[in-house]
Amino acid sequence: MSFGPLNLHRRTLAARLVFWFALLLIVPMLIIGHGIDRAANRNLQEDVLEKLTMVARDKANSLELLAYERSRGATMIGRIERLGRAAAVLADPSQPENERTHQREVLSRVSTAFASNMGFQDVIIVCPRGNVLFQSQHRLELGENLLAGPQGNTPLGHLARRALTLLEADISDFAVYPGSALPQGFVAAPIIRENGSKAGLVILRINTKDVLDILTNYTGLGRTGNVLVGAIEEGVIHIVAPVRGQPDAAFKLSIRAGADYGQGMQQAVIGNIGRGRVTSVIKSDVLASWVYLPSFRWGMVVQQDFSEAMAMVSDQRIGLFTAVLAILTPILLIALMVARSISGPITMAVTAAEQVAAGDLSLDLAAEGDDEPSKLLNAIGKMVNDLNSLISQVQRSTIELVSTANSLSAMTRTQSEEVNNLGSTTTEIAAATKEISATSEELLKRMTDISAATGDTQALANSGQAAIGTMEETMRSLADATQSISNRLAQITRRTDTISSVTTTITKIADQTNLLSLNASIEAEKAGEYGVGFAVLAREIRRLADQTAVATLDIERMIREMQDSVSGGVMEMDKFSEQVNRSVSDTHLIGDQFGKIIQLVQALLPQFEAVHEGMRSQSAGAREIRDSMVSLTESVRVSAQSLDETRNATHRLETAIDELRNEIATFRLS
Amino acid sequence: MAISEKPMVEAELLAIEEINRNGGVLGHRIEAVVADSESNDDTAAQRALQLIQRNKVRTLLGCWTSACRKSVKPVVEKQDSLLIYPMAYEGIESSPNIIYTGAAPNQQILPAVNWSFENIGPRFYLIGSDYIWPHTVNAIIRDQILTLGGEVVGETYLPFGTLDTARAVKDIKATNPDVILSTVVGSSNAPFYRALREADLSAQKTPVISFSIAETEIQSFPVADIAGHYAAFGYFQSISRPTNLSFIERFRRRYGEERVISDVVETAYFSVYLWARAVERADSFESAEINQALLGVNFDAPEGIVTVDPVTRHTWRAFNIGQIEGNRTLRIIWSAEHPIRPVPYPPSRPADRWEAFVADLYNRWNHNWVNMETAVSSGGTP
Repeated sequence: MSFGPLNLHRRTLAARLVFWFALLLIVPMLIIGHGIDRAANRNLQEDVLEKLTMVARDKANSLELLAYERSRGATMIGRIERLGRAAAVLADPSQPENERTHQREVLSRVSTAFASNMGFQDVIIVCPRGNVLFQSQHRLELGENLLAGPQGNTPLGHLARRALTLLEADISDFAVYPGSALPQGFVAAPIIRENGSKAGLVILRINTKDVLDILTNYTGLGRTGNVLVGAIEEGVIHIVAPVRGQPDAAFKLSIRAGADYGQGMQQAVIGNIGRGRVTSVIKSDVLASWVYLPSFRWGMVVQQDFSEAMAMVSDQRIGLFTAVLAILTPILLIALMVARSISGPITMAVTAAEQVAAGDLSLDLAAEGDDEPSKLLNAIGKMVNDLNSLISQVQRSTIELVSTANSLSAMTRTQSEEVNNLGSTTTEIAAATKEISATSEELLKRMTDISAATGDTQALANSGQAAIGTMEETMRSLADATQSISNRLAQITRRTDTISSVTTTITKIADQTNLLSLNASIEAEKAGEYGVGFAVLAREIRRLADQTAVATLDIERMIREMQDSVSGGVMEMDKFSEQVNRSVSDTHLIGDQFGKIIQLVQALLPQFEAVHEGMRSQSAGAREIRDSMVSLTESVRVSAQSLDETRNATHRLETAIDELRNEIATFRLS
Repeated sequence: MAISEKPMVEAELLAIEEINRNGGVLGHRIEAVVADSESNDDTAAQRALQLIQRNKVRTLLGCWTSACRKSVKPVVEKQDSLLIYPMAYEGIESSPNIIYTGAAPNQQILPAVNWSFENIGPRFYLIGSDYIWPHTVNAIIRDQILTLGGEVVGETYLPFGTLDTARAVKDIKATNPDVILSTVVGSSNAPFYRALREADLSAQKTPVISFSIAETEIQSFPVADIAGHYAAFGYFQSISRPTNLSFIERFRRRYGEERVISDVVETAYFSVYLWARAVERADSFESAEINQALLGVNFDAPEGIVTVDPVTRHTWRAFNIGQIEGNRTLRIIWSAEHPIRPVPYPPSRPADRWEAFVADLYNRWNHNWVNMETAVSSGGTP
């Protein structure tokens, strides 16, 4: 950084003080000034645009009102019966000449009485086919028929044609006609008679001055305010009225639609209202407001030069600038004075310090006063005195130092050699120890693995033994269950035997009953008809006995089947029971064997533990040795290094003493 | 909502969408609340009141028939609200709470009468539907024909909504006019044109100038019935201004390539823009402020520059006569060069006499805007 005022460390103290004073003053003032300026700019621009819009709207209203009044006026004139009658007479070629003359006079009077009072100048009357019947002033060449004559293709001719079709008051486009420098516009209205029939067209010339009075009134628009009106025709916008400063601008000034200036006018002629900062049709930078006037089909722009509109802001800007300057000058002067009062003694101190730096300690400094710069000068004086005595002392000490350094240097060299020897021996021992340590650590790791494996085996055997115990238990309860089922089955066999004996008894009873009933029926046969009832009884009893016998046989068969099944079951159970018992004894045997394994493993474990412990302590010992060796090596290295350093230091000391001697030699002591 | 009224709503929604897409008005989005009057005048008045009171709508935009507008008028006046009416109509009305963006009689009826007098012939037959608009329009036409020195050879009213036009056509044939001026609305039109053709009253011999049908309506008519007849409006789709071409493109992109646009659709569209400009100008959404700001506001509409006239509260409008072509488009055959100042009260009679004329019809029809004694069914057009 070497540019401008930022290169501060090269400037004098006074310049720096003044610079910062100025900076602290100017920067805030500029910021505040800029802010005020911008706000004022914006507000003023908005105010000016608002004012221009009001003026534009006011002018538009006035012009539209003028157009409306003229149209109404023309409509009313068109309905004056005297005028209608005159037009009808003049249109009728069969009317005598004196009557025609009379009607022309009537028309002249009507023109004077009404037309000029209503703001019209020329009065032209044509018949429904366009033949010119009357013209109050022969300023404009119309020809015999307006539509076919020299004005047939001018806005006047178009007006007549349109009004004859629309039968309604209408305003022509403005144009410059021969004989007049100013643009002119006409109003046409149909002449309608009292009976409702049309008798022609009355065409009245609008007093251009009435329109221009509104347009060229620049009140409130300042020195550069301007009002432009234009009409678009086939892509070209013509300015149709004089412009301030250009009285002949009408129909001479024009711009093409789409041009990069006159944006307001371009918007206005297509019916858009707006406002803003634009380049005007006369190519000046303006604030403008624009409107559209339907009666005349004009776009109107009310504008004021930007510079004038914003003059208030530029005045304010100049004022602000002057104020800043006015404040800045005295403040800079004060800053300069303060800076000088501080920098004077400091300059003296600087000169003294520079002398001291050059080695001249013979100067005598003393200042009167109580401010900081005076104190500084006194302090420097004291410092110079102190330096004087100090340097004398140093000169003396240096000589002593030189001899000490020399002897130190010799000693160090010897020591260094010894340490180097020690160093190599220690390094060898350390390497050996490191190997031992590594081996014992490897061994220890193996032992730890084996010990863990043994522990796992024991745990496995323990769980196996427990599982077999459970199995044995289960087998035993299974054997018990089998036994109880066998017992139950034996009981069932016994019960069925009892049932068999009961059925045998029943069979016997049934046989005897059968025999008894047979006898009874024989006896009944004998008794003849007295025994008939008894015979029936006996037959029934025998039938019952037979049924009993059959039922008993069924029971016997069922019991036999049951006994067969039970005895089959007992046999199966016996077989099963035997197998279970065998399994129980097998399981017991396995359990015992597991027990033995566990005992063996358990006996092994403490032995492993002992070995393990031994290994561990051996490994720790080795590690300790290794660590001690490392630290020993480190100590040797450090010793060697410090010896090197000592040597270096001694060397530096010698150099320093040499330099010191040289330096001191430069001082001129008092 | 009658079929022909739907495109009007669509055009308004399109304009609202466009304005919203460009940042809305005063930094707000416009929200449209659409209410259907169901082609019933009392319903229209009720819905208008609901929109103002319940939906807090600041500006109403709509009404198709004059009968509808006459019913809504007292509502907006009492509520001091604002209605924008986008339909060509008979005039003879002014309200401090209505802005009329459709054509006044001097922007549609009178130029058409003058043009046909000059270009077709002096003998006129007037036919209309039996309600307020045709009766008033025909009274205006009669005054104008008198001014022109022409002759009205017959005047007939078809019952509102009728399909039976035979007797009227028979009368036309008997009187043999040069031109028929038609204010027949809605569904009666198709049978009317067919009957004319069947009665050998061709467009070449006895053309009809309609103030009611336009592009939208004729799409469903047989070409043989309508080709060669005329219509008179401020806007026709065939206007070749770049603003119109771009409007047609946007409308079709939004609603379909086959769509056609008629005067009322375009009017509804630019009405929204006039309103938006007024809101910007008023810097307010209050009905009264917008109402005031609308006066004098203008817009480069598809048909030309339109301006709300501060004196009459009607709108400066273009005028065109179109002839129906074989492809159901309207070719512009005469155009009024630049927009016409609105004159809602035709100067042929004083304003109070016109108002008395309208009031007389209303009273004669038992306080209706349609002659209910002859009406066939509701649901028509202008």
